[in-house]
Amino acid sequence: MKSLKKVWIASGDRETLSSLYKSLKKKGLKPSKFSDGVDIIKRLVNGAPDLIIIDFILDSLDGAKLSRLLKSDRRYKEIPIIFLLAEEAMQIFNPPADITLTKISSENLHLKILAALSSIEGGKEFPSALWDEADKGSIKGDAAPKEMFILKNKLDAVFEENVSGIMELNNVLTIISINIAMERILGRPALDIIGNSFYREFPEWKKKIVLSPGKSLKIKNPVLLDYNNIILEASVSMTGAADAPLGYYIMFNDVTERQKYQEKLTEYTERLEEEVEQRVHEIKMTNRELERLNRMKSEFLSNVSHEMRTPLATIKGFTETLLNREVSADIQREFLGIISSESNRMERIVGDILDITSIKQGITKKRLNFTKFDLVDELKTVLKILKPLSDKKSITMKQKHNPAEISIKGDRDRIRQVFINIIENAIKFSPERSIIKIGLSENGKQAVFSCADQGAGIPRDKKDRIFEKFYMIDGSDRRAHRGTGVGLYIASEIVKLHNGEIMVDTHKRIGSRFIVKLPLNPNNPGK
Amino acid sequence: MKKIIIIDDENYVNRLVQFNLTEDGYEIITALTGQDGLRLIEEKKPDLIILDIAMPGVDGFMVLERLKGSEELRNIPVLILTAKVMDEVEQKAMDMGADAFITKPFSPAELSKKVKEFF
Repeated sequence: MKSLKKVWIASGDRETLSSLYKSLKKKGLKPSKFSDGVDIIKRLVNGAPDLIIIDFILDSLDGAKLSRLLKSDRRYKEIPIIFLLAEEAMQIFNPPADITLTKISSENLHLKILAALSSIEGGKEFPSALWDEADKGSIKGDAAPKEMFILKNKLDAVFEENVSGIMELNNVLTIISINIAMERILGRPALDIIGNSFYREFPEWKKKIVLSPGKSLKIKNPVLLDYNNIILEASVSMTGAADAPLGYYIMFNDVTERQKYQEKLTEYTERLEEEVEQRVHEIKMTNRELERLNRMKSEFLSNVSHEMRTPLATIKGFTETLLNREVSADIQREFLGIISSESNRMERIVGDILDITSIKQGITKKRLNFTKFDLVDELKTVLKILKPLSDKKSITMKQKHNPAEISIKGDRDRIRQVFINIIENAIKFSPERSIIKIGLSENGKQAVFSCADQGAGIPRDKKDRIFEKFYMIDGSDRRAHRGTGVGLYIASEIVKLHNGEIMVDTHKRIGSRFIVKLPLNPNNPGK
Repeated sequence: MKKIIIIDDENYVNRLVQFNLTEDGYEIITALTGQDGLRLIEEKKPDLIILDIAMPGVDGFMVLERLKGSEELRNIPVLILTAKVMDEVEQKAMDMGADAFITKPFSPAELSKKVKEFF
């Protein structure tokens, strides 16, 4: 046996409300009156009643939604509900309730409610068929037409089943309803939210969703909001007139994933742009480098042409002189000597050109002729070849080698060329009567050749470029020190092919020191 | 006897020109650098200058500029003898006041002929 004392009556119809109130009070119960579903929800926190009688028509939150919310919340689902429904709405709405009564005449309604009360108290089934029979012939009240109920039902379906979260506010910004999707987004039951002020519930949205009832809506939809680590996209619409709003609907969509993709996409696009920029830069640099090489090549050609014209001029000139003029035997000998010497010079230039061409095509190791030989012996030969050149400028060549024999495996002719190119270069850039120190030693793994001059040194910014093809420091040097500008490049290429190293150490006004390291013959280390 | 000075940093070229033009009956003075050349020109006042362009230090253009800037020396004719065959080099030399331009390699007979035209 249940005892029903505290009974809440909810109806938007004032007449029904007050007559039910009176009749229940007369029966000795403690009824309370409500005209709005929202007020019921707000009152629940102070303690639940023994029974709730809910009329379909209520202010703001309707009866059907109210009973659905109560019956689906585990805290309140045990509270018995008697639902009052107009006959026209019977086939359309089926709200969850313990007993649903058709509301036909107010006279019959009182009797019906009393019968329902006693069946709930007694735990017995309510004889609805019996009462339906009794309703027949009663004078009907003025219920809303059936079309209105159908329309309401359609709107409910759109509201409740929408995949977007929907929140309904009244014109004083109280939350009067939220749909199932909204409950899911917020992660809280509707009963805890309905009835609260929107801004008190979500103060963090105050700046983004500015609602000022009485003024037209000034929100640029959609608005992005943060809520508990999710990103919501909200759009607001207003019902009623701009100066007299009935309320607001706010639609929410969880766009966290979309935003994440968008962020990724933006990041990706930015990275792509950066990459493209980088590539363009690289291409530009390559282009500049190619242009520079091309310029150097032209300079080289013009340089070579100039270099060849000079010995050619003497060869041609002295030959013609010998042919055309009567000359003494001594003079003849002198001129032939010059012709011979200048022919050698021509040969060297042609050799340089050939070298650069073959290196351009790529000297491979296959094309090198590797043999075992003594580097000390080779250096002595080179110094003998270059002696006339250093004598011409009265340059002293100081040589130091330790041990007396250093065996390596390599292309002897090419290595000779490396020595010649480096030492010849040193002579060329040395002042008269200066000293060139030449050393040869080994460090256990490599043979180490060094050549130090007392020339002007190489400017720091040019240092790394002297091993480049066709590189000569500048125009004035080219005039002062004749050459094709390929000697050091050829030397460095040959050293690389021998798995060796070539480097330069240079100080302005003190001189330059070139160092070449070549791997020792592995079969005969350090001898 | 007409005096000719030859300024070229290539010793053999100087020797070639000196031998041939001496045979032709001129007095020849040689200089290996632009500085020496200028000094000798002022000292000896030659009747013709044979001048190379590409030389270390004071080059042919600088010598030419110095000569043409001097009241005393600007009327001495200058014959350029160079391995620089580019048109712009010849143009520049002529613009600066050179009187003849011969490129290396050259025929000594032709040089003799050209020199003779100046006297």
